[in-house]
Amino acid sequence: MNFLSYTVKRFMQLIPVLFGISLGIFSLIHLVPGDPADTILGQRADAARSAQVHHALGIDRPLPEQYLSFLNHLLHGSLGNSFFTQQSVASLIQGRLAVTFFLLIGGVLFSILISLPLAIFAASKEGAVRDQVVRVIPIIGLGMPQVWTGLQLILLFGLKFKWFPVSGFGDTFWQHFRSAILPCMAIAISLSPILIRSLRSSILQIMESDFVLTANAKGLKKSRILALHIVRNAVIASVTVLGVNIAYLVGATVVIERVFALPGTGSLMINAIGSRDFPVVQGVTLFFAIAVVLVNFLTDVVHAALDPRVVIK
Amino acid sequence: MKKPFKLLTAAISVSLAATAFIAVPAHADNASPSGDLVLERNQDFATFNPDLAQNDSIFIQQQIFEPLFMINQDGKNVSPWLAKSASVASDKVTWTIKLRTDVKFSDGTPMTSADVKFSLDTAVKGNGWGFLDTAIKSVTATAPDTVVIVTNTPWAPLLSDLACFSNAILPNNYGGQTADAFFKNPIGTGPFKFDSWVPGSYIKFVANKNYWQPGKPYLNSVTWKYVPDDNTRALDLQSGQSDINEFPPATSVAQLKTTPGIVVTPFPAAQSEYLAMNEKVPALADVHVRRALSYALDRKSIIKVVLAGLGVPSNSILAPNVGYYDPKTPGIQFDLKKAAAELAMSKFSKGLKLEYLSSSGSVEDRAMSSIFQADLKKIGVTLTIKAQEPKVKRQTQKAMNYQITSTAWTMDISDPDELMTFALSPKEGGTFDFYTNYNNPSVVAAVKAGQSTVDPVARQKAYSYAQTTTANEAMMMYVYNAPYIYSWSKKITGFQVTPTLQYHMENVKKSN
Repeated sequence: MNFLSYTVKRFMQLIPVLFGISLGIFSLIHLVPGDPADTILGQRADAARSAQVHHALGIDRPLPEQYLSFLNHLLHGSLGNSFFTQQSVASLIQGRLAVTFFLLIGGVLFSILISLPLAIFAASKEGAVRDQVVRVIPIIGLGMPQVWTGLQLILLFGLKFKWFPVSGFGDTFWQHFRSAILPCMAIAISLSPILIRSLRSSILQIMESDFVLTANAKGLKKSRILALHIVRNAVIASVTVLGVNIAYLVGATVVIERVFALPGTGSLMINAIGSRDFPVVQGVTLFFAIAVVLVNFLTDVVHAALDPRVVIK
Repeated sequence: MKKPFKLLTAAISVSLAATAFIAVPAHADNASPSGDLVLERNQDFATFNPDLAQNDSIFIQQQIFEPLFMINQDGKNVSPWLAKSASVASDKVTWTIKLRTDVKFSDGTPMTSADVKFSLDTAVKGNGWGFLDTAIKSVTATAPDTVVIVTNTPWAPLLSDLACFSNAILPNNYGGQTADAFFKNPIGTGPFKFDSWVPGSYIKFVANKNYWQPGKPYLNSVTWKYVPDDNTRALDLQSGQSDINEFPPATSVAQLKTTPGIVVTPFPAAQSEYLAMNEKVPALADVHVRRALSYALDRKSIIKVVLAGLGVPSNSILAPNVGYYDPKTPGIQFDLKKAAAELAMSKFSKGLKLEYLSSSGSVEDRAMSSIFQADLKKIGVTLTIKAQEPKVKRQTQKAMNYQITSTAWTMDISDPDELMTFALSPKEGGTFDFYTNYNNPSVVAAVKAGQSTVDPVARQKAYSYAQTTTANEAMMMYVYNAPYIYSWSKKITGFQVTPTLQYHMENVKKSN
């Protein structure tokens, strides 16, 4: 019951957050100068033809009226249509979600595959050479820009060994899978440093806790203590770290999509911002904002489920 | 009155005779196209609607849709394409266009005058590019192979206007579909037909077996792939994942040339880079200040840094590959002594402070403004540099809240009329002469004479006058003319680009 009321309370908090996000997104994109008519008409745009385009797009109306219309569409489940391609924003996002999901899920999986063994390896002997070496890795990892990391992976595995395609996403599932390996590795290399640090310190902290001492005293096997007690508890903290970093991860996909020419939501948003395609910018930002808020919500709920001491104060 | 008409008829006849090589006698089915070509570019395709097309879509659309006339390889004139001939009556406003009778759309339907009438009537009404057709009063299909176009006034650039991609020939009434449905799965007379499109990734065309030029296209398919990162495009070409890289950075050309299996070619381009000066700023309304600034612009150094030497200093508002370009135009070139002398003749001889509005993230703008800033300091002009995001910069320029800013132009048609009207006729161009507020009635009159004078000699005189006067008055600083750069695999032959960016992929072959 306690857990249920926590979940409901936490969910109720989302409503004002989402409303605030919608207002924030709308205000920001309209505060930024720049005219969509320039994209449609190009350099040949003059005042008279620009005004015609403004009217046709409905952006000559007062901002509050435009916001209400945006909200109205939202309540009816529509994110509007792109100014330039006339396609619905929802369909544009839908067409590109697969790429972003491949990157997010693959990036997180690769990060865990890299981080967990290294963190356990480092924490198994605090202060030893192995620990020092693993602790240096995050510093190097954080210092490598994703663009550079991506290009190095392409040079090595795409151009030299020809194991993976240099760019693109392919048409079949198998091609998608092959195309996503290098980008996911690039994301993992930039995300792992944060995970390694958090996992290592959590493991060290848990290794000194009473229940681990008790387990040791009971004569449980070290590997069993590690797997069942230490890692399980350390992962709780890392779930929170991953949740907090989901926004960073989404940001990383934008850069990686560009380097690997992947048709994901990141490139959709970058192009929409550049051309001032307001409905697309609003739609994609809102989608990601909701995704981040929901992931954080789920993180808290999972955290509460794993750790009964968590309550809202 | 008769002489100009004869001259125009002669000019058209010469133009048509020069292109007799495309007069294909009869249609023949394409034998067996082979090879799948991948062209990579840094812009994502947006639309098949010619009226809404910008550079992201224009070159791609041209593989599906074709116009009545085609811009020649030198970029200065046009030749019949889907049309067979053109003649103008003695009233100088009635044009009779004869059509080829062997042209079919990719679904096998023959192209007739009804298709041409529908396409031109639609283009004239277009919000995007309709302004190019304001001279057209009516289009009448008088016979299945004949169209009569009447213009409001004598209009010399008509055939050039008809050669623009925006006047491409589509099936009458969109083949019975709505415009939206048609542009999702378009049909044209071009060498390729639409196959598939994954927005944000690629668009693919396959050979049109009904193409009117026998034996063409040679390729089985062309895929236009969107790869925004310059480095990735270069690596894709190197790995064999692509065949042509559109617009690699000029600074990468030296390295590309040493890459085995890769060809790099700069094609002459009808494009110009300018620095606009806002004459609402008192100092910039002074012709001596404008001339001084223009003398202080070290074009050769800029070309060296920005284009790795691949460009020429510009001397005219027109690029060398545009019809009626006058090579004798006295465009100001770098000379600091003359710059100081001009400044001394102005009301600002004791020095002045100016601001350069640059585009944030543009390496070219940063280099250009820094070189300019250093040279201006030597003649007592302090230049501050302010950077804005490209769309914001554009808005600032349109609101005329800038002092000096970079701007550019790429020709859409072979005739200088479009640019001359936009840049030099404040009223008709609708942009206060590139947002400079420059206004010289004698230049405006010359631009109008160039539109309506049918005699090519008189047109040259009018356009030479406009070029000379604007150069002398430093209406803008003419910076450089850069080429279009492409790199491609040695497996590719026949790839040519016109100064107005027609790709003619029907002539391209790919070997194994």
